[in-house]
Amino acid sequence: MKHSTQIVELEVNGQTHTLEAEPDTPLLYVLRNDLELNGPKFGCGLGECGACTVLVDGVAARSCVLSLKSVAGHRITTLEGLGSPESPGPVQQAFIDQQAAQCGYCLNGMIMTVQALLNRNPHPTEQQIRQELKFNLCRCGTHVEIVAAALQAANTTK
Amino acid sequence: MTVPAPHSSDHLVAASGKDLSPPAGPTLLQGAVLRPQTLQWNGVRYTGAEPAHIDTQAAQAVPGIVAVVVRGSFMGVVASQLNQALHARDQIDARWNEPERDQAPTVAAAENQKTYTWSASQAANTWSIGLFDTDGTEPRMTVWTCTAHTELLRAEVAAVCGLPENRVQVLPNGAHHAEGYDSAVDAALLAQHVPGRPVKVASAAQAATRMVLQLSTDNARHIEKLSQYPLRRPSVAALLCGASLIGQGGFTQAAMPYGLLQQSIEPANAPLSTTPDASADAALVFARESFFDETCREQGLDPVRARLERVDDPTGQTLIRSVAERAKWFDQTSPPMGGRGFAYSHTIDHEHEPPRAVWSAWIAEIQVGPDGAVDLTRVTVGHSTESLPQRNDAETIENQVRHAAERLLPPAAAHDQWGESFGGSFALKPAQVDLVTPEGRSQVSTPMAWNDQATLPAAAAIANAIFDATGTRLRDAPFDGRLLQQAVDRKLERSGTRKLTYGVLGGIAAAAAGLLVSALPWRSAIAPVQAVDTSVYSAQAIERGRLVALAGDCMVCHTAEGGTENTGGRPLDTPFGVVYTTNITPDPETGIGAWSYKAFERAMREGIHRDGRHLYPVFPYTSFAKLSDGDMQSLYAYLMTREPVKASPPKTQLAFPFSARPLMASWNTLFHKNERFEPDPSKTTLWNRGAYLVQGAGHCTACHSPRNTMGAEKSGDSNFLAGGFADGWEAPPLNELSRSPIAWTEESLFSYLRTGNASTHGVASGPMAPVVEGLAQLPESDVRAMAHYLASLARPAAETEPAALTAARLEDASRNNRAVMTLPGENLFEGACAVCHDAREGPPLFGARPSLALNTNLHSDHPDNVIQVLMHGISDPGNLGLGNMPGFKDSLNDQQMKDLVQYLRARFAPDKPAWEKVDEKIAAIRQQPGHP
Repeated sequence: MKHSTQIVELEVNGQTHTLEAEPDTPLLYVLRNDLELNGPKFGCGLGECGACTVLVDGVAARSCVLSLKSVAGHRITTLEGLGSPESPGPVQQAFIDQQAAQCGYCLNGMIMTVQALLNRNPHPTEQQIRQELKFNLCRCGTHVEIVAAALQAANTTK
Repeated sequence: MTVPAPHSSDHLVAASGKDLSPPAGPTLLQGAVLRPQTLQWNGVRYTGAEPAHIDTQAAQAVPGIVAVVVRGSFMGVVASQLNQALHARDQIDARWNEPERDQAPTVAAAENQKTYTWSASQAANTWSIGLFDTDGTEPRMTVWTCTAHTELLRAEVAAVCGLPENRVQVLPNGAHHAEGYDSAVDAALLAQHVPGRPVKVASAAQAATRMVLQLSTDNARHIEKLSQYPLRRPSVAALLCGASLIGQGGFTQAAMPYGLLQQSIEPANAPLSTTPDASADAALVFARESFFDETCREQGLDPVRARLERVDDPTGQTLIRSVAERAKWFDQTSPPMGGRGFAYSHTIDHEHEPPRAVWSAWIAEIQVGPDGAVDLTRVTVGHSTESLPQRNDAETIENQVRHAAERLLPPAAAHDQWGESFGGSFALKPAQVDLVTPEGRSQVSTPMAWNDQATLPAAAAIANAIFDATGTRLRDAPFDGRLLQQAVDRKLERSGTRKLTYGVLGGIAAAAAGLLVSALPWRSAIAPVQAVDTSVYSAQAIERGRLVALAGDCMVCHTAEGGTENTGGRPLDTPFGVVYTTNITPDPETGIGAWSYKAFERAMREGIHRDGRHLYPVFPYTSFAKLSDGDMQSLYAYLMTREPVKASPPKTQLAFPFSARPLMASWNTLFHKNERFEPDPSKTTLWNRGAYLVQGAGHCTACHSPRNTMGAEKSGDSNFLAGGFADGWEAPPLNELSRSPIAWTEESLFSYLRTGNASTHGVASGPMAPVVEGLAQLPESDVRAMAHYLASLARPAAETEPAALTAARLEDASRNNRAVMTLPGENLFEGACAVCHDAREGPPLFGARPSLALNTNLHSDHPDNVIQVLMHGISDPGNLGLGNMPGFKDSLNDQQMKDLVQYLRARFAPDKPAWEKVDEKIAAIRQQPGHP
């Protein structure tokens, strides 16, 4: 294993950060520990559950298995980049309106994955939403509300 | 704690009118286009293969796909990521009708048919973005690209998209020195199907593209009257859509001047040429003027007189007459071993308002010396243009004329020539250049108007002169120096067989001497040198050496994990024990600083250390022996000019008897042939270049050929690149033994070697990843040559089924394979793998999403690579854009790992037998450190 740190420039939510880190560090650790962006969550650490999802160039990515060096030079968007508590983004607002959470640990992944779908396809069907979210795990069983929130987001975004 | 971040919606509405920069960020979609096998047009419209059957179902099912677009023969896909777009494109099942043949394929016409090819210069990487905006009252198309023909492009995009011209906007994308004309129209056509969202189309840099032009006279062998050349071709996309561009500015249809024309371009998925117009013009003029000359000579006509009889245009008439007089065409005949050639062009440049006609006539004279050198002795150029944009001084023009002529006579391409650097090899003495105006006045000393189109006849004039001198017709431009040399040799009646005999005798003598020497068990030391004077090495030699080092991956083995480059210390696991690599920086004590070139060369070719010790053949001197002297010297120059680093890596300690290095002497006698690479004269330069790289510096056989119990590569053609093992990984067979479900082609090999990913095979991982990293830095043409050579070894693609259909069928079968659904691995796969590797479901995630049904490793005879990747993941892919894969070493136990491996094999390679000894291999690979 290489244990030498390097200076890496990372663009997150429109801001460029200069970091000193080992290039093999998972992106999630850098976002949470160095940049204090705690929207993305650590779940399984193997890219299986989806709680750590962020957008890389507008496409969903599992940040716990993506190394820092793989995403240098790409645009990263975290949950914080979609809106703030004062003015949530349309997808965030839809999840609030539908109260689509019990424990809420999976919500970051659900919201980011829906956002990635809407980037690609602004008017998805319910079937397409279900397919998109198939590998985002929710242990509380809030699936009905989550799909309702995604549908609401699809209808409110242009 | 949550950090408030700026609202990013501003990024999403780029290009709203004020912002003219190309869109980027989350909403940017990626497009890819599918081209027919051969592109062909007759100067007016597309005449190539047309789709008889298109099935886009498989393409539409690829995750991340936004749209599949089919318009006439134009096909493309739009997806959120480039690799998804490329994968989907490969999944379009299109079967093509035979291309339309010439309307009158009579026997007589075929008899007189001649084929010419023109290699356009290398096309640079570029990209275009199209955005179709339907928000306003009238839809608008905006295209960002890099083009020298903004107005033509605007008109063409408007025509193919059915929009008024004032609703189309062409903006610069910020790139320079590239021509994005073709990709711009591709992007516009794709963008029209996804309104409001920008679509990016990249045109990959391509090796020189070849244009093939076929010409034939009509049945009466009649040479038609000359008229203008049709200028420039429209974009490939427009041709494929069948868009009618005749009568539009910039594209005039001309009567076929002489001969019927079919033009096709290879390879098909490359842009036709650097620019849609400039080199197409040159190709046309070359083909037609050569054809005219050939037909005249066959019919016993003087080409200049024949031309004068057939040119109506008074300016052209006067110009040809002046040039002929100036060059004393009618007064003299060619000297012995000399030749004269004539060529003429008349083009109309529609990019100027009003359109501007340009006439040019060339007479080239060459002389073949007794030593075989080809001299261009005199060039007479007549030139006239309707407008006088600028006057250049005579010296500049003379230089341009000379340059245009010399560019066509490249050196005989050698197998150890890196990239596409041209230097004159034929002694081109400064040719006497004569410039003539239509009035017959010599312009050598006075400035005159000059235009690049004046050099168009250069190629044909020189080819015609070479024919006159040697009787050999060169129909491929720029001319192959090797062919020219052969033509000259024939003319000089040098006996080829006599040379060959000498060559064989020389070879035998050298081999015998080598045998005697390498059986000596202990070799003499070569005295250390105090200091190597590195100032004698030119920057060029050092750069060439850098490329040799990259192709040879020196730094991959000679750098320890996390260590300083080339200081050695990486442990190499061999069946005979661990060998540590050595320090090859020019440090005199611990590195090779005290090695003379002689010592370095002996180590590289014979495997002998400077002090006389034998080196172990894990250092692939068996391959490096094939390097040419030029490459070997450049490599030495490169290594000796690096920073010296004092570092002593661990000493290699093998168990007896392998510790007895003198035994290597007999090993060498048995297994090592110290021979430089000899190109196969029956093969092309590209093939030989590829063979040289693969067998020599690239030392592909070191891993990909099987080794015998003595650790030597097995000999014999059937063992060549037949697959081997290295570092606990299987290096799969590259010859016809390849187990991949879809045969490797030159294109897929090129994509794999260049980017680390081939969508119908998988990604480079393990020890292959650093190889790809090195190859990414080599000149494009060299990687192309390797792919070309390797493709010639692979089993030919099965004719029965298009690759796209095979891919779709295999993926479909893997999805609906009921037999595996009850296997214990099913749940493991669903939980751990499916999010990234399920063929049809789930979100398209960042990075490659390799199709397991097509993955070569799952179809292999050995499970090693699958277990390696499952255990250790892929943390250092060959190309960072491919993303990472986590290792499951710490989360799956041996039983789970076995269940998963057996499940993967059963589901994705159902026609292959189950693997054996999976337990043992899992246990062994779990203990290995894993490849970075």
